[in-house]
Amino acid sequence: MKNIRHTNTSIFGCLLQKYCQLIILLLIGASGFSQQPSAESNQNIESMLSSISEQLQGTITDSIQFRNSMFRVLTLAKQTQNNAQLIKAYHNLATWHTRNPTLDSTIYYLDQAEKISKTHKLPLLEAETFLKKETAYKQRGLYGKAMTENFKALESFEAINNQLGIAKSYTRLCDLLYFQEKYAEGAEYCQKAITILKELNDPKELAKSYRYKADNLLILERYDDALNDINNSINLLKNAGSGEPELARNYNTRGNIYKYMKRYDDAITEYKKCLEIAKKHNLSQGIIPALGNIGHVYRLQEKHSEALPYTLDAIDLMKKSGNTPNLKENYAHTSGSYEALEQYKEALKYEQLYSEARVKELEQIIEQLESELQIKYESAKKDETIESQDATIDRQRKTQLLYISLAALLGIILFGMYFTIRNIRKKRKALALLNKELANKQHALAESNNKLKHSLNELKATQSQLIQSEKLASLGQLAAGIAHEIKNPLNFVNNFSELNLELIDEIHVELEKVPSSPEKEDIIGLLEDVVSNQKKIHQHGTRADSIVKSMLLHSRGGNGIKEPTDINAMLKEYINLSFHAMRAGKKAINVTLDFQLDDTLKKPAVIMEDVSRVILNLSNNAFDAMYERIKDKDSSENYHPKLTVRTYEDHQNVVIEVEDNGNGIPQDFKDKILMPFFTTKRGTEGTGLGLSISNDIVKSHGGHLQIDSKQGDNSFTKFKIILPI
Amino acid sequence: MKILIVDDERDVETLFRQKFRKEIRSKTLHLNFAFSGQEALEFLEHQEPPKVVYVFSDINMPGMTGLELLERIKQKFPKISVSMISAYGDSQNYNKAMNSGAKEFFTKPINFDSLRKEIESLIE
Repeated sequence: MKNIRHTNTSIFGCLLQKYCQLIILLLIGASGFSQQPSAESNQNIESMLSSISEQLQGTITDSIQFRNSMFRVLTLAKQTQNNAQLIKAYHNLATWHTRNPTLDSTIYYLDQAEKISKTHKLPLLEAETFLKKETAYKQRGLYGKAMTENFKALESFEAINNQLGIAKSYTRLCDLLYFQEKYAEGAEYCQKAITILKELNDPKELAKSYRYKADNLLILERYDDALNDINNSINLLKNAGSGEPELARNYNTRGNIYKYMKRYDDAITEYKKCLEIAKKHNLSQGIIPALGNIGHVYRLQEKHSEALPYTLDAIDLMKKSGNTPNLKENYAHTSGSYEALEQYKEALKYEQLYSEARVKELEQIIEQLESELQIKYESAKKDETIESQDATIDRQRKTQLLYISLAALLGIILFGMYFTIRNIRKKRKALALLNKELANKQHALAESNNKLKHSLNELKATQSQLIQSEKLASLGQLAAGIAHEIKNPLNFVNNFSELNLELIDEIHVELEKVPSSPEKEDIIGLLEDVVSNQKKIHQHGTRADSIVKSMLLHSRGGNGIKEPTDINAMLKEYINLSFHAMRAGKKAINVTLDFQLDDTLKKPAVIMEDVSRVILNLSNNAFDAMYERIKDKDSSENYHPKLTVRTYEDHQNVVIEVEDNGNGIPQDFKDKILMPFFTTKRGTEGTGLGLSISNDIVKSHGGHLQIDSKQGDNSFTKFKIILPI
Repeated sequence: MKILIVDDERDVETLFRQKFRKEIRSKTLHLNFAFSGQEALEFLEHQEPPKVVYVFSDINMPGMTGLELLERIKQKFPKISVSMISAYGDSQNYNKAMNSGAKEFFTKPINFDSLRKEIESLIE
């Protein structure tokens, strides 16, 4: 929650520290020699002081010159013995040093100012010094000390009844309470300050009170009140013509309020204003939080891809500027965004960076503790040598104290280290877990990939099957068209040949009336030849017609519907039908029908009319084959034609067997037997399409037709229809 | 009796004339031929007595199909009997023809025996 405030950490860094020390030494040395005449008047010093304090508010371009002028004023004030001016000079120096976070020059100068104000009874300046001390301590995070200074200031202001001072103290107290997480009390103090300041004409101070109050109300989840206060603050600042950097802080707070109100778009607008101002004034401590905040809000909106550039920019700038307190939060956000965008590799990278940052932070704490211990130890040692004449008991007590504090610090360090190690281990575990998760995800991906490949193969197979059947269908359509076209002329051939036979008969009738002669005998002989030719034409025409009919049947499109069918019942019906047709036909034989049917047979989904045609074809063939064998057999042979029909289940298939004990099929023919127009039947008997059609029908049911046959002794032919259930 | 046979195949005329030569010779049957639906309609509109009492029509013809012709004849000359002769003996054509008022439906190749019986039944 604290990091939503601007982080006022200085970016000037260590370089300045050393630089300042050097200058102090130089000036202290120089001041001994430089006995400047006190020609310059009090007023001159006064104007220099205010010019310096003004410059301190803004950006300082030439810091060497600025320091020189500050120390010149200090020297002058000392010379003229104007205590108020001296205090102000110290104040300026203290303010200058607030930019330096570790060196306690600020407190040193403020102590000087406090001493002077006390000894010379300047209560207003004393109170202001207390306030400055408060600010200095607050900046270092020493809120307890800051609080003490604040109360001192308040007491002093109250003593001289300075309302502005009292209000200022309240406002700062509010801020201090914020850092101690006492938000309600803080808001109350700000309200007190606001009541006072409304009477006074200091819009900037009033705006500050509003802003601090808004900050506190925000945490108390009183969003509407907070928004009201920050709007007041912004209006005041705008009317007072305040600078943009001060406004940026307000926009930041307003952005925070919007963020918590879940008015994310408004929040982004505010943060972007901050960003713009910060960029314009090159305030890196403004740019970084603005980028981070925008990134965070986009994350809250789950616009991960929009959040990423902001968080990444924030990280980049933080790294460049060395202003790193919020670095790890941004690492965490980046990692989260990448994870949401399913870029796990990047997510893992930033997760690692986050963990490293955490570890580093803890290491820094340890280091700080160590260095503080060192400083304390050294200063204690110094004290020891300086006060060597002091009582030994006193010294012993000091060393004891030192040891105790050393032990305590060591304890703290060990404790810190223990936590660091534990934390590192935790992180490692988390990383391992994350890795494992990634591996799992990869595994799942591979698996689904395999599944996809499998289904792709299946799809391809189906597709080729579809193409095949599509080809067959179009071929069938073509064949049907051709068949129809051929059928018409064929009809004429047959009809006219029939007519010719009739006409020849009539010629014979007419010839009876003509007296006989050798010529008449010749004519009758020729007419006999014509009749026999006509009969041949008619015979072959009829044959062609039956082929065409079969082709039409062959190509009849599969518009039948597959329905679960009782195969056993169908077999009985159609085998019997075929048997009676055979008995009624020219090739009647005595055949034993043997049905060996599985009563528990499942009902496969088939197109009844198609499969029944297959059964008819197979049984007709069987009867033909047995007829052939009877015709061929020796009189000595004892042959009993027998048709065996079996059904059974085998591996999720229904199997239908139609077996005859005819002559069997020669080995050479087995491969050709399913081809269209292949027939072993003599002359005009077969079209050569029956088995081809049967095979196509079985295939279109997803099954297959198998042939098993043997010639010679115990010859047989067995057709197996295998249909999936 | 006068009948009209409609078929786009011109050889049909020769075939019919030879098949029914005896009936034509004895003048019990008078055959007329049209080679399209349009021609058949025009013939029926401009004929002189004796009038056609029976039309045999093919179904699959360029231009007007036999089924269309059937409907037109049934509209204009409801008394004339119409039978269809088609190579496409499927149930769709059959049902359509019968629903439109066809008397009979013969399939190709034409069985002249049954055709002769049908005509004889009308002569009587």
